[in-house]
Order: sequence, then structure tokens, then C-alpha cells
Amino acid sequence: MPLESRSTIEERAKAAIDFPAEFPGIEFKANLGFETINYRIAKTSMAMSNLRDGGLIIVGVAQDAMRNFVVEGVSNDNTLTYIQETVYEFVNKYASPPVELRVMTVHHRSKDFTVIAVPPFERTPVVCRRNTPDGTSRADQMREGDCFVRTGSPVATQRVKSAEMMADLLEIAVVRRIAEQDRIRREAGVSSFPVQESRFDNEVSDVADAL
Amino acid sequence: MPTPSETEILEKIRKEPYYSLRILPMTGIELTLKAASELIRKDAVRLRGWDMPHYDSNEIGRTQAYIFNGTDWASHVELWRMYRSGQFVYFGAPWDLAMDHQDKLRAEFDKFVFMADEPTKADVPGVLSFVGMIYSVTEFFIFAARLAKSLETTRFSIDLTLHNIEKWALVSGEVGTLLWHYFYQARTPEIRISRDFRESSQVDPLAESADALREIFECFSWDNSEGSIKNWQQKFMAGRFTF
Repeated sequence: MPLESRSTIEERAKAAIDFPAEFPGIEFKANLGFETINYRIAKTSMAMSNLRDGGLIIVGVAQDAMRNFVVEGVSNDNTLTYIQETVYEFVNKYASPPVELRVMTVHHRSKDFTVIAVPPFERTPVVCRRNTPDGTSRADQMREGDCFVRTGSPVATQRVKSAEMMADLLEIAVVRRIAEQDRIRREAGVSSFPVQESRFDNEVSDVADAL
Repeated sequence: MPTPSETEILEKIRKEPYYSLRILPMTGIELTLKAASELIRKDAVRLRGWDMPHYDSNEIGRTQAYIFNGTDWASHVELWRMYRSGQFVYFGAPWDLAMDHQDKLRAEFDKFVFMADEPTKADVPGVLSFVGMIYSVTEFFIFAARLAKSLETTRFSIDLTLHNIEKWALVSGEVGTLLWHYFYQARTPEIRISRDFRESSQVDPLAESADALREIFECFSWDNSEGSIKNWQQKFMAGRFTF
């Protein structure tokens, strides 16, 4: 699935900042440099890629002790740590197949925000392909073979750990594969839709008595 | 309405025994005419010097709803249509009827089939080569399976009818290989075979055509045809084709 246009991503990010609430497809991070939260961004990117529509990670919105969102923006120093190549390479050191994410800066309410746009997977759900190094904090740990998804209640990034979670993921993959086949068929001059059996009889009505 | 060239060929075909074949993909499909033509070119079965269905890019006609090709040449009198819906229909005379083939088959029948008396044989309007039938029906099912695969339809159906065959009898048509003495005669004007396949990827066209042929030959009162069908299918396919 191609990423949305830059303007569409900006619109979505601004709307999320205006009415901050986390959803499976929206994750807020406080004003922190990439190296501080790189594992969490990798994990969330993989999980969002396993959503039907992908998602946005927005850096510059914190939560206070009462879990209220605080729109603080990202400092210049931290903004400079979110380099497209750096984020892409780090996330895809763990993601298989690669997540074709895009990093951009969005200016809103006189503040800058770093937005990581995560597209949904194209054919195959994304899994983790290597372990995090020894000594990685428990919250950041990932293991080879982990498959992360975003849950809605509570909003969180979790490993697939139930048949229902796997079924949801497989359904997305099947829908995606059918759409891909339809695209191939359209490009080959073939399009499909529910069959109308009466159409077949109408077509051959002029030669029906010879059949 | 059939176009004039179609009408002429279809009228000729319908005067004697003929096959009609209808293949229906049970997936809604909308082909471009170009794509329909390409499917026929790609999926035509070419095992014996004449393709089924016969594809000649210079001769293919077009209407808004289908492409078609009518042939009346040498041993081949046939008409097919490929609709944008994916439906395929075919009308074809057995090769046995064209040129001097029927005279030769009739001579074989008169000379070698001694399981019927002369008055009975005299009442037989014509004869058909069961070997030719094995080849044709096998080709029909191979083509149908290929077409279903190309159309990516899981479910498809085949309706095959052998028309105008009442009182017609079977011969081998292979005098140099097989002297056929048995008298098997159709007592019905037509034989209809319908098959509905729900998983196209698992269809074995050889096995399915063998089963259809067994059913056809039973209508000629030939009850133990399985061995002959298998034998002639193997000769047909040997070394030349892998589905």
C-alpha cells in the first residue's frame, strides 16, 4: 500500500494534535530524541504496519501524571535526531518485511512535531526478525518471531497472543491479497465482480437451441 | 443475433452430429475483447496439428459482447465465441464427417463390425470414431481447465453435448492399429454431460474427461470402455503435453 500524500498525513497529524487521544492508528510520544525511544518506535511501527490502514506516531505530545495529553512540540535538538534514513534503518533492522515509513516535521500551533507515517503491510504481515541486544530494558525488548499488533482497548502495542488477534491479522492479509489479485487482473484487462448467472443465458440466447 | 458468417457455419454444423461445449466461470468477470483474444491464444490446446479452439488472429471477429471465430476448412467445421463475461461456447463437427473421412469410416464399419447383421448395419445413418471422440473430449476438458485457471475462477462448469447421434454407431477409426468388431449404437438423439467444479485448482482434466467419455460411451451401450479410454488418452498425451 503506498503512503498517503504529505498533505494528507499533515492533515491527519494536525487533527490528532488538536483533539489528542490515542487510537490503534495514533500513538503520541513525548519530546524525546530518537535514540531514547528507538525501540518503542520500532515496535510501534511494526504493530501499526499490521493495521488495515497503518498509523501515525507523533512525537511532541506528552502525558502528565493524570494521563492528560500535553501538547508541547519537539525541541530543535530532538527534531534533528529524527532523520529519515536513521529511523528507517533502525526500524527495519527489526522489521520483516521492511516497513516503508516516512519521517516528516509538521508545524502546527506554532510548534514543531515529528510525525512518523507508517503504511500498512503490502502482502505479508510484519514480524520481528531479530532479538534486541542483551541489556535492553524489559519494555523495549523484542524477540525474533514476535508479531506485534495494536489493540484498541486499552490502546497498546502487544505481541499476538490469541487466536482472535491472529485471525484479525490474517483477515487483513487475505483482503490485501485479493485486492492485489484484482489489480493484476485489471492490468491484464480482466475485472471481476459477483457472478450473475442469468447474464450467461442472455448472452447465448441467439444460439441457445444449438447448445 | 449471430453474425452472417456465424449463421452459415452454425447451420452447416447442425445438419449432422456435432459437439456443443459451454464453459461458465462462476466468478463475475469482465474481460476486454483484447484480453479475451489473448486468453484463447494462450489456452488453446495444441496436441494434434489443429488447435482447440482454433485461433487465427487474422480471422477473429468481434462484437461488443464477444469475439468469435468460424472455420470451414478441410476436416474442420467449427464456431466458437469467447464472451467478455468469461463464458465460452463452441460448436464443432467431429472430424469424421468432413471430406472422405465418413466414407472410410463407413467402409471400416461395413467390413469389420460383424457383431451386427446386415439389415441392422444398413439402418445405421453414420459412424463416429470413438478414438476421435476420446481426443476431442479430452481436449475440451483440458481447455476448460486452462481457461478456469487463467480466469482465476475457483468454480466453473462445463456443459458438453453430442447432438444428432441417434442410431449412429462407433468404429475405431484406427484400422491400422485396432480392428473393431463390436456394434455399439446410440439410441438417443443427444448426450448431455454437465460437470460443476468447485475447486478449479484441483481439477484433473484427464480424469474428468475420462469420466465424461465413459458416460458418453454408456449411451452407445459400451459399458466397459474405461480401459480403452485410458489407453487412447495415454497415446494422445504421451510425451507431448504436461498439464
